[in-house]
Amino acid sequence: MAGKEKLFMEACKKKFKEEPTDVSTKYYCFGGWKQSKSKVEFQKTADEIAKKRGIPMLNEDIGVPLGQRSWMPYQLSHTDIYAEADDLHCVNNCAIQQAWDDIRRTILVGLDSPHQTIERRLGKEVTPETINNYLETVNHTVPGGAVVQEHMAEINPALAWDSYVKVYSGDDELIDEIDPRFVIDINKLFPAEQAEQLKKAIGKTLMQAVRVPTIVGRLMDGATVSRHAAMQISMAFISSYKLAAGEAAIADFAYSAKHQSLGMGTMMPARRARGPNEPGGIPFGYLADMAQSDRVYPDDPGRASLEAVALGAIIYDQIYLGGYMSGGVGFTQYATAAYTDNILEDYVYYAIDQIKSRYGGFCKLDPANTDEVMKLGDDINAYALEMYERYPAVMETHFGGSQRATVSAAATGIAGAMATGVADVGLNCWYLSMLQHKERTGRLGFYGFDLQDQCGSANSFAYRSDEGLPMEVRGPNYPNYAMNVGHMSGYTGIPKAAHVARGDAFTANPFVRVAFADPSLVFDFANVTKEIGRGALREFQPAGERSAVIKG
Amino acid sequence: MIITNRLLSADTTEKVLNALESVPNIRQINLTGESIPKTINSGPGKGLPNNHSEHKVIRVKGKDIELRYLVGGFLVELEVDDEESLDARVEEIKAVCNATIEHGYSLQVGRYSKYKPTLHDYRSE
Amino acid sequence: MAAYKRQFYPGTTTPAKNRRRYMDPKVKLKKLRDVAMDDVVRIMGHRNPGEDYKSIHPPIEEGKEPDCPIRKLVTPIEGAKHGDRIRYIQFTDSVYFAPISPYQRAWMYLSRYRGIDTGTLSGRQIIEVRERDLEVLAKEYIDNETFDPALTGIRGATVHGHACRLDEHGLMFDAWQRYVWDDEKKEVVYVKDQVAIPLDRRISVGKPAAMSDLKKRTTIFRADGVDMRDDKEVTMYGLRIHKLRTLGGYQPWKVKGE
Repeated sequence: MAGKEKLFMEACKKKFKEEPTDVSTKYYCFGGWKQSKSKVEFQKTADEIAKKRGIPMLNEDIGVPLGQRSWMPYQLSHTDIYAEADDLHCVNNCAIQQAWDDIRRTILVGLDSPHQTIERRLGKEVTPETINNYLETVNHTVPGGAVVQEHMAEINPALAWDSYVKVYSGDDELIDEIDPRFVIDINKLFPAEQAEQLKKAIGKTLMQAVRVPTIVGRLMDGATVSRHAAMQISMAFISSYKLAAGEAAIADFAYSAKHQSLGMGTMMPARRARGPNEPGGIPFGYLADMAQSDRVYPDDPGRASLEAVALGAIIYDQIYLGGYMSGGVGFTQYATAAYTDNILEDYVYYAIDQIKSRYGGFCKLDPANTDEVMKLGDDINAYALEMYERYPAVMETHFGGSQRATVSAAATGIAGAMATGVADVGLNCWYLSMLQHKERTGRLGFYGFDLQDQCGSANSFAYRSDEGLPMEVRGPNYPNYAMNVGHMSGYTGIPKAAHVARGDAFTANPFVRVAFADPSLVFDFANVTKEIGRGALREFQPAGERSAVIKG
Repeated sequence: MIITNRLLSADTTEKVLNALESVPNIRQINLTGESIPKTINSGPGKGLPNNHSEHKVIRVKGKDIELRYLVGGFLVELEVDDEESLDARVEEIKAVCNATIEHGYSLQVGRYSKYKPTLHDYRSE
Repeated sequence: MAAYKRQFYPGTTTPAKNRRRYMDPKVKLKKLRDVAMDDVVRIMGHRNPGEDYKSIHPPIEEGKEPDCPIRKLVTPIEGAKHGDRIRYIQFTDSVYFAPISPYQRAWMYLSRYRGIDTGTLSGRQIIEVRERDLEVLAKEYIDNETFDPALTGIRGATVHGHACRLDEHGLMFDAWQRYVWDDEKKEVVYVKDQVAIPLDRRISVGKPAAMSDLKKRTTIFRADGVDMRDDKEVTMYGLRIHKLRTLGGYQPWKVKGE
């Protein structure tokens, strides 16, 4: 809470030129209570809520209503939304669910290979006109419409309104010819510099972002997404290019759609018993690419890293480790530490200030200068731990040593990544934080990850897959991370921080990056904490609902 | 928001609350702190009464309140229309705290509570 | 070559020195109180005072052990000899200058005893030993300078409190209030055992130390006490471990000369 106060105070100082130590500061800091146009509205709402809301033990008989609660509500970081812990549980919060649904139901299927099949094997011409025709057809088939055969059962469109196919490419000329309704427009969605990088990386490839209905992913699993897509894409080719369904060449469409496609999650070992496109297989760099803050707020690298942290927390910590791997209800309280109450925010922005003042900007510290990297890491880590020591309310908010370990190490790791522009240096700083944290306080986290956290210095630069991999392509299934609850958030933020600091338009994969810039997605990946907050406020409208087929 | 330097006994909490009653324009007070269960909630002693001396009934303005927390914070919601009355109320609250909270406190003015209902509030609907 | 001399822990500051003292088995830790052995047994709650030890295997002297060279090498501790159960005591140490902290407990125990199993978390530290050996050890660590009645808790479950603010008497928070403040004697008194089953008698563990004294006894580095970064040797020791491990896993040839 004091961390929140600190950031509050900082905001006040900048906005109203008050001293942050002035305890009787006169403003509500978000929106400036005095000046805000919404003041009247806020007052009115607050009056209503004060009367209506169900505060435990609310006692109205004593003159002033009196409530009791174990701690303050959580503030979703960099928003003004407050919520309870159970509002942030992934089973309660439909926005968190939709973030995962939107990832799982995505499969990227290149059109270059099928177009070659059509042209070289079947001798038909592919033109922008035929592509538009195909896209119209595939936007009928992927949501569950039938073509080709008669008497086919179809999916009720009201269940699959969220399903569609869009394309994108680095080839501006080609994209100009495509019906804009079916395009994820890199030029419009990204700042110019990022757009250029992305288009260069993607080249002439024409990529489809296929979004199967949320309900399909939910009824089956992530692995079915490529199958659903492959079947419906093949049908769309047959129909739009007037092919004979029995031809051997048709198999090539299905083959390329199933096997030359890009899933969001890689295959995991059989012992995990999950298909591809499941959260345990999503590399950290991919999830960092899905987080879109730096596209919309390109001048705020801190926010970009913190949003990636938040996405990592909900997808990996809460849903994957908390749900898939552990089961039960346990992990919410722990995971939310990384994206609530502006505490990590405070540490990260402190780190950014330090990097700028010491080195004159990002990526100016030589990653080979181990001693200076360690000095920076040690300083940021000490700052984070000092905040817990100086503000008892922050210590109580992150009352578990594991929470403090994660948040301090995340700040230190993000600092190392931003200062050097190398994610692995950030990771190395994460482990430095862990060792120095244990040494300073005489305590760290719990059995579950203390070992991994204390031995990671040695593998932080390992590139061979059985030892490490670069941070961008490590994932939650990397052996030492397979049960590192609450850490996945930080692991996602570190590669993001490195590449944002470099001014890169993407972290690991330009195709993934563009696919999640798509405004037609149900979840807004540029405003992760805000979306989670909207879920908590019952303002978020998810997809995949079955009410259309249930008697109301 | 008043954050105390120490977690307060039930007696001190009672004193603070009764003293705050004299401050006008308070819409609502929320107490925060560490939960004290009524019964032992896990382990071999599960189900036994906890008999925590600070989980008890206090009297606030003549009414009984069962205190369930070792209180470490008071979230006082003020209903004021101008800066002057806000300042005045804050000064009065400070005076109350100085008189009742022995080990010190910090006081911040801001928005610290939910101002829109969340899923949690609809649970019992 | 001279035999390696254990140094235990680096550093020049008081927390560093305390860590060294606690770890060094040659240092006899100061006894600050004398809680009766029967009371220690009561607080742990594994058996009633005077009750026989429950056993999990026949005494080793009965000779029913398999023929194993390792077993022949190791001299069993008393409890193992008698076939005692393995039982535990678990301490919670406040972040607010408790005399010792979880990792230092682990290092201390492992440096001073054998036949123990210890587990370290942020909010609690458990030590498991054969029952009769545990009782000796538990008494030692309730009586000696690593224990403070206000800032050390004996808690088998619901350990929450290490990160909480202290109460008005300076006691670490305990939701189950296993110990209470005796305002007349200015002492801390246990009224429940470590899993909060009420005791049939009140057991005093004495007066809490003054904060000024605790700051001299603690192993914890804190910004409002001794900051670890003011102890150059401790800071460099941590960074050196990190650097050597990093190089060892990445460019091992660079370790030479470091």
